[in-house]
Order: sequence, then C-alpha cells, then structure tokens
Amino acid sequence: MSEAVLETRDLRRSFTQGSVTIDVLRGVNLAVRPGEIVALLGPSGSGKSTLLQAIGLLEGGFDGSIRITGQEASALDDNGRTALRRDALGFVYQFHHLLPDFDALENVVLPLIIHGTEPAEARERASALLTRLGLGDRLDHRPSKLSGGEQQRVAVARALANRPPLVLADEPTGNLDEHTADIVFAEFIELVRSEGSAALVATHNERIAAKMDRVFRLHEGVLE
Amino acid sequence: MNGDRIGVRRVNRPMRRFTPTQIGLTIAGILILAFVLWTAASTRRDNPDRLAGGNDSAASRPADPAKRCASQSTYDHIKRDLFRRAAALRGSDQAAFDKIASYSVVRVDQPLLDSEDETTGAVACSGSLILDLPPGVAVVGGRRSLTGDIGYTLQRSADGHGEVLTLTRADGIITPLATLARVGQPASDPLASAQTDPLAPAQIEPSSAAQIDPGPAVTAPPPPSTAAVQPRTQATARPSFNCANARTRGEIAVCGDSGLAALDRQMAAQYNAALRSADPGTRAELHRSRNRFLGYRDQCPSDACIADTYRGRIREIRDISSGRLR
Repeated sequence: MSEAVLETRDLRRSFTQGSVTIDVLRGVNLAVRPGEIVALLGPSGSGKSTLLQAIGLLEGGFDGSIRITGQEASALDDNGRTALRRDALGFVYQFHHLLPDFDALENVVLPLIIHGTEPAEARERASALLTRLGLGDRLDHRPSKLSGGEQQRVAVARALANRPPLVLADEPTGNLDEHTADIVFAEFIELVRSEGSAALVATHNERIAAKMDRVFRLHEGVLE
Repeated sequence: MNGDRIGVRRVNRPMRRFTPTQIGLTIAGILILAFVLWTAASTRRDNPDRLAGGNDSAASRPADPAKRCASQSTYDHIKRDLFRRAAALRGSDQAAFDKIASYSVVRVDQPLLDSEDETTGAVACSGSLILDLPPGVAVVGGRRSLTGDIGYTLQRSADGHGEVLTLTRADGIITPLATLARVGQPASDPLASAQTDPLAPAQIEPSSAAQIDPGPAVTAPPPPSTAAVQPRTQATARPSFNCANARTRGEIAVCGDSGLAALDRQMAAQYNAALRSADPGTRAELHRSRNRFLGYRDQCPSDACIADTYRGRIREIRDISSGRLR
C-alpha cells in the first residue's frame, strides 16, 4: 500500500479567550491515501475549518503531527512550509478568493508560473483546464464578470493547475444554489480523479459527503 | 567723612564683580552651550535613516497610533515583507527580489487604524495598497502596478527599537508578485501587444534566477535617442498631465511608461496636498524646488533615472512640508 499523502497524529488546537480555554481539536488522527476523495463531515463549529487550516499549514499554534507526502510539517521552517504548501497542496474555499484584477486565465496561470512552469506551457495548461470546465469562452473575463458557478470553476481549475497530490476544499459549493452546487461538485470530483489527486473536503452536507470515497465525522474536536 | 567714604565704597563693591574678563567668559559659555544644543537638535532632525530605515527609536516613533499605520517607515516595512514573502513563495531569487524592492514604490490609500491594544502597544491597520514596480520587470499579464486590500499589525519589538510588522491579508499582492520576471521586449516594442497576448513568452521570460536579474534593465537602460523617445503606451499610461501636450524628453518618457506615469500621479497628488496645507514660505519653496526637479527630470538619459528623480522629488516634497528642508 502506498504511503498516505496526508497523515495527522494527535492533532490538537486550543483557543484562549480571557480566562476560558476552548479545545477545538482534541487529538485528531486521520490518513488520506493517494487518489482518495474523503469527506470531513460535521456541523458548524465542529472544528472542520480549523482542521483544514492546520493541514493547509496556514496557521501555527497546533500540537501533534502533520505529515504531507511524507514530510513532517512541524520540522519545517516558514520557507519550508511555504514550499510544501506550494508544491503539495491545492485549495478551494467556499468563496472563490480569485484575484479581481486578473482574468480567469491569469488566475489559473499564476500558481503554474510560481511553480516554475514555462509561461507558454502554463497558459496552455490553464486554458485546457478552463475549457474542460466549460469556460473556454470566458478566459479573458475578470471574476466580477463571471457568475458564482463560473467563479468557483475557475477556483477549482486554479487548485488543480499544478496537479497537487492533495486538494483541500472547505465547503467548496457552499456559496452556490443546490442545482449549481451539484454540477460544480461533480465537475470537481471528476477533475480531481482524472488528475490523480487526493482530496479532503469539509462539508456539513450529508448528501454531498455520500458522493465521496470515505467519510470522516468530526464531532467536538475528535473524529468519530 | 571717612565713614561716608567707607559707606560709599561698600555700596559700589557689587558693581566691581563683573570685570570685562568675566563678562567675556560668560558670553562665551552661553554661546558654546547654545551651539551644543543646536547641534544635538539638528542631528536628531536630519537623520534620514530614522524615517526610511524602519528602526526608529521609541523617542522618534509617532506616538499617535493612526500615524504609525501611515508612516513612511511602516510602508517601507510592508514593501520589504511583501517581496520577502513573494520570494519565499517562489522558492528562489531572494537577492533579486530584495534588489527590485529597493527600486519599487509602495503606498497605501486611506490607511485606517482598525484597533489598538493599549496594554501591548500593538495596532492593527488596513488599507488599499498600491505597489509600483520599476521599469524592466513585470508580473503576469505584463503588469507593473499591483493593487489590493491589505491588513497589517505593528508591535513594538522586544528590545524597544523599531517595530515588528505582520501582514495579515496580502495574498492578493504576494501571489502575483511571486511571478515577477524581467520584461524581455526591446524599448521600442509597443506594449499594446502585451495587452492582447498578456502571457506571450516574448513579454515575460521564464522565471529562473539567471533571467530575473534586473540589474541592467532597471539601473542602466540604454540612453534613448531623440528619435527613439516615443510614447510606448500612450493609450494606457496616464500621468497627472495631458499627454497630448507632452513636449519635453521627460514628459514623453512618462507618457510612454505606465510605471513612470504612476510615479508622476503619486508625486502630483503629494505636491497638491502639500500646497493646500502650506504656509506662504513653504509654498514658495515647493514652487522653487518644482522647477529644479523638472529640469533634472528632463535631462535624464533613462527611465531608471527618471524614476529615481521622481522618488527623490516625493521625498523632497515630504521634507519641505515637514519643515525639514526650510
């Protein structure tokens, strides 16, 4: 069996407000295998986003172990974590977080250029991804000129542009109506599979969770 | 009579305490003391590193939290941190990014004080940041100006010298900045083609350390001949003046380069703001120095020289307004 792309051991996170300490994560152990699409299911406030923040190496203050593609994150300095995030992870958020001054094509090209892809190749790859998601005639449109579903498709293309081993998605269709959400999520799953990536998808929607390979249920900071 | 004479002597005795020597020594002492005080005050006022270096001591740091959000020292901090983080994201070229940072200009429109922690002295600020890159380099799409909303916190350092800055919301600047590359087109190429084909290889070269070196392109572009000085992006470069009336070499160069045009707009905005709040003496100095600046600018042999002249003028306006150069 191949090594897990993601493994956490006894992951803990607490927040202190005044004299009160809140344990948001209370020892989370999980593993995601290459190519696997896993749901992280839990109600609002259960710690899903905090867990994704930790795994995404976006925040410090965590205890425990996070291994991504075999690398122990806690052993890395700031630059090492930035490099691991750049090379191994893709992100899709509930809100697209596209850069408003750059058009759809440029938003997808940006991570490719940063990753070291030649500009012409980056452009070709970004164009192919967006065309595959039905945005071939929207390449030069800025985010403000795209619909919510189209914006989220661009965000999906951006997350998959570098073929990361692991995509982290936090309620990726939570900002869309149900019909559009179903279409975009199906496209997301199809693209993740065809690119050979794995995905950990936080959602509070049982129906969406049921479409994935496995489901982790997070309740009060621990997996059930 | 003797008694009267003795009495007269006693009355006159105090007048004899100040001999010419004593008076001379006293005046000399006062002059020396005044000179020492003047020298100390002048040194403290004129040290440019206090403003630009970001290591201002607690004594010279603005006590007003809102001024801390908007100080030049803070903007310099922000600029360095943006380039440092962009280089880290790219994973290479830190030295080249540092060099380009020194030629770039950062300003924040409407900087706001969001909150202040009176216990620690930390302040949280936000604003709309504009980063103007120097000629010769660009990010994806051929852009030389990046804008985006940012958040930043300032905390006094543990040793009491300077401030520690943390960017809290700057990915909209850092991500595109990490694609920085040398612009490969010759000066005579119309940038209009970059707008229709923003990612053409001829516009942005591969992002290797060897190719990003901005040295020659930024610091020493070939001197333009009179015939070669033509507006390159007249359609998009918008300085503070009407490019239809551009006549001098400096005006034509500014109209042909969006980065120079941005610097011109920044300088003009600062100049007009300074004029509005100036007393008659300051206003006269601003006018006098303006003519000198225009003369320097129009003699510049290169875009890099013009950019440096604008940056110097921006500093000069600030110094005149604050009374430092009067």
